[in-house]
Amino acid sequence: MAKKPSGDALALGHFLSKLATDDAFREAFNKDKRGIMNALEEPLLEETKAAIEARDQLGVFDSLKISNQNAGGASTKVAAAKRKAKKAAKPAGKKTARKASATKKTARKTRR
Amino acid sequence: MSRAATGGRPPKRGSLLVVGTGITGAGQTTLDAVTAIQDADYLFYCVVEPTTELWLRGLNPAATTLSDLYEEGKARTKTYADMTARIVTAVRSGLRVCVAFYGHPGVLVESTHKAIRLLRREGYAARMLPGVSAEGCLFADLGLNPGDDGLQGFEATDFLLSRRKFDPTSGLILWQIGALGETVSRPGITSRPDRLETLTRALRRHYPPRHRVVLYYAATFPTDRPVVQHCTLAALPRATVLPMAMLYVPPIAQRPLDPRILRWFD
Repeated sequence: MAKKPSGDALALGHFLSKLATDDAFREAFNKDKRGIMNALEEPLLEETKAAIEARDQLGVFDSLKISNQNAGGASTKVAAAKRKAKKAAKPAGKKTARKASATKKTARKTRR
Repeated sequence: MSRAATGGRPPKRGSLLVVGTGITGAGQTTLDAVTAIQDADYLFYCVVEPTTELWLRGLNPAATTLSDLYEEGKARTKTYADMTARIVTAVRSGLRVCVAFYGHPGVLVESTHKAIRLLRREGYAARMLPGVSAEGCLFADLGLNPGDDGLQGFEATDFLLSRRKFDPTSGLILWQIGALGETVSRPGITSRPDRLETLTRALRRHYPPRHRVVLYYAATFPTDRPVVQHCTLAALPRATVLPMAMLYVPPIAQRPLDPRILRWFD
């Protein structure tokens, strides 16, 4: 059975939603981050406050860069296309081999 | 879970629910997704925001990241296969598993679709709940209504590789133009100008060089603002583009309405 979620997680979720939807609250937070977090009705853990402050200090582009590592999707198509090209190259080799054996057969017939 | 999700057979004991945490995290996660996260025996997550990670770990202490499977120089296809294997193994062990991906868990995420297909074939209940994608954020931030002129969307590499046909009189969205043609993970990745040049050449066959396009980055934290950069198509190859960017190409002049169809509608 799943464990009960921590009160801190619920408070953090509520806090982040408030930041996203309440312009006055967000402005007040931008002016005094620590003060606003300390005045919350639902208290946040010190670790959570530190994480929010650290996150908020990032510039927008820095925050986009932290997600670079996870961006993907293009790869599958390219990798699949490369695999297909490799596969397509194989039968050509086999054909050459068959051709060689046919030549050998003709040579055998001629000898007979 | 219903029998429909397992092809009519009674589901086996383990199960999978795949959810999205939106782009900004907590605030864009639906109530259904939060419930699924809390109720799961085991939670896997792949998110980009440290605060979202903190929040998820608080909601479900049995939470493990999938991000450790990304390695520098490792082929992404291998990373996705490893993710699928990790998810499937947990479900097979009889656990109710929840997997949370940032954004919409079915948009540009391969491992979730594969895990669901595989588990359903094996008789496990497995399904996906929708989430807020970057495209959804773009509609809101650019004031774009896809009902006006229509909208086409392609993954940028696929767009070039498959020579996708499209209609320039409708809007065009290209996903991940910053990761154009990239097959491996590496830090500090940005688009290569030569690849952007090739993409621009393909677009120039349909749009004038001075056509204005938009590079869009959805905000990833509630105090961030979205990044909206306008430039001409001709200037696009000189832009520095991060992988999270989407390119929006507005439509050119509209097609004339078909008078016969118009009469028919009357």
